[in-house]
Amino acid sequence: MNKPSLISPLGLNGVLCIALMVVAFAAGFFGQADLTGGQFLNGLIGRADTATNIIVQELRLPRIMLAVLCGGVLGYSGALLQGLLRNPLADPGVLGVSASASLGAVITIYLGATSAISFLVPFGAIIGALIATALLVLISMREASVLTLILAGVGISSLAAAGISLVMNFAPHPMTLQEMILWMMGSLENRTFYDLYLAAPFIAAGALCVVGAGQGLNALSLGEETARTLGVDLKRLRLRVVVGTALAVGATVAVAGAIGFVGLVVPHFVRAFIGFEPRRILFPSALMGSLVLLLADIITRLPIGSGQLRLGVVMGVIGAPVFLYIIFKTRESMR
Amino acid sequence: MTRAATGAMTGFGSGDIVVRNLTVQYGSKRVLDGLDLTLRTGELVGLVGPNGAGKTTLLRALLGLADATDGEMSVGGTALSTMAIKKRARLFAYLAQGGPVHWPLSVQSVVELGRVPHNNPWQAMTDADHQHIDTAIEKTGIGGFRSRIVTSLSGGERARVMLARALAADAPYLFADEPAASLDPHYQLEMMALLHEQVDEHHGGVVVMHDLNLAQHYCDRLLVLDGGKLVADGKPEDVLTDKLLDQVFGIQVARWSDGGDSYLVPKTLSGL
Repeated sequence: MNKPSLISPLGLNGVLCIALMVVAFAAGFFGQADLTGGQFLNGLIGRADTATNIIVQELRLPRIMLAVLCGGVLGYSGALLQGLLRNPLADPGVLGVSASASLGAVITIYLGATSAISFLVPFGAIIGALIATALLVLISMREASVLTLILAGVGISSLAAAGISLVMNFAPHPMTLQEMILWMMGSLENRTFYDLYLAAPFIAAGALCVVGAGQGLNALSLGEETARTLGVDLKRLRLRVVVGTALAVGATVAVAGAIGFVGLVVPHFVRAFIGFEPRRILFPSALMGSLVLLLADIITRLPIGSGQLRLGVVMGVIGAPVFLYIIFKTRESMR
Repeated sequence: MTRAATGAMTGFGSGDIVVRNLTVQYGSKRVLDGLDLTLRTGELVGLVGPNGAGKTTLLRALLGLADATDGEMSVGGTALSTMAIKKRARLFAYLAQGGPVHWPLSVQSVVELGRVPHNNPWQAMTDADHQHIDTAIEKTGIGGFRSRIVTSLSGGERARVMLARALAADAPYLFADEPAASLDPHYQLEMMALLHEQVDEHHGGVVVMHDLNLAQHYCDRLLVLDGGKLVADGKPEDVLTDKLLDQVFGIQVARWSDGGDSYLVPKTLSGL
């Protein structure tokens, strides 16, 4: 426990930024069409043949950008929620926020069943995320025990899952059903700039909500009462974090489907490098979240998956064991 | 023990804490019942009284953690009820009883949290901040383990770190809730000495305590609460009379003196 941090936060941010750029560039090479580096670069600036231009600009580029954006949101949200709840097991997925966002989105798909109101899907997802997060905050205000919170998250997740099954039961059309199922596995396949434009404003609004929240999270390390005596307006802080994460995670779920464990796993790795100060881990968690999701998305495009692997599935296979490992490691502090 | 007299005349920049008719009620239970008192810099004030007398509630009401049902509290003439919470945080530092540290943070990071009331969320710490942090670390003698993880420290070491965190705020008033309660005798004396040392013309302290000997040796003034009411206020030797100890605590004490200091030890329950 008594080891100094391995690297300065600034250094970690630098390393992550460079790694992110390298991986983002490399991600451009992976896909059904084989492109050389030259073709990819030419495609980026529109100097390749028409097909390559389209593949690069309308398929690969938005996919990479969405992976960076969604991964960043999930990593940052995990770090934020963990700071607010003072609990290394908090995460939009574990706490049922993602599942509730999925429920909201699935209901919207059901009601729409066509693309006519597909622009409402993010709203559905955000409303679902908001309801779940508000419930969690209510529970954590009454009792801050780690176990209660995780169990509440399990309950909310189960409830949302039941709701999703119910909606699927009544899906008006097999196509709608398939759409829901594929979407719930989480994917960045065939996303366009339209999806990016759809999610970005909500994510930006969410980011605005939580600007400057880090100081309050730091103060919360000393408990809620001491944080208040340090001048932290707790009610406001809670509201900002809840609304901010719900907006951003809701938008992420809306365009990329349910992708779990990023927010859970990433802050854990960041802490291993730079220690536990809640404010310090926020930004590196966003960068590492982007990196992790980009890598996971590359895995879905490797030949081993024959193009059928889903991003949410990949993240689950990687993330769930890490989740178990973290539970194992923190079990002494769980009461 | 002349600090009280000098302190009363100074205290600029903050001013006296004046509490008038302070009442805190939870349901039908009056925890504080029409309290009138004045606190000033330059003195370490001990808050003593039986369990449930309202000592902690008084601190909590001043800190804004408990809502006053009635009455007024002001500092230097400014009502606390109209004060921004950040400003109040700069006036009062709070050393909570057995306050938790939820993450395995370094000693340095914990002490730095004392400066939160002085900084905007997006502001980096200034040289002045670092100076206050270093001074607090030096005063409490924890410089040797700045980079150690707080959750791995012993109770005594940890108590000093928490005190350093409170001192780093450089607030005019430091409120401490039973700071010596769970410490061994060595650390108890050390904690009380540190609390007494930090008091000067610009700094005051209010300490909730149960140990009457520590209270009479380290506090300049004692306030005795009983049933939410202030029943005594004055110098320790004037306050801790046999009559008061009988009435408030229901105990008979034995007394002796050693090298000019007087000591008391609870002997029997009154009426036995």
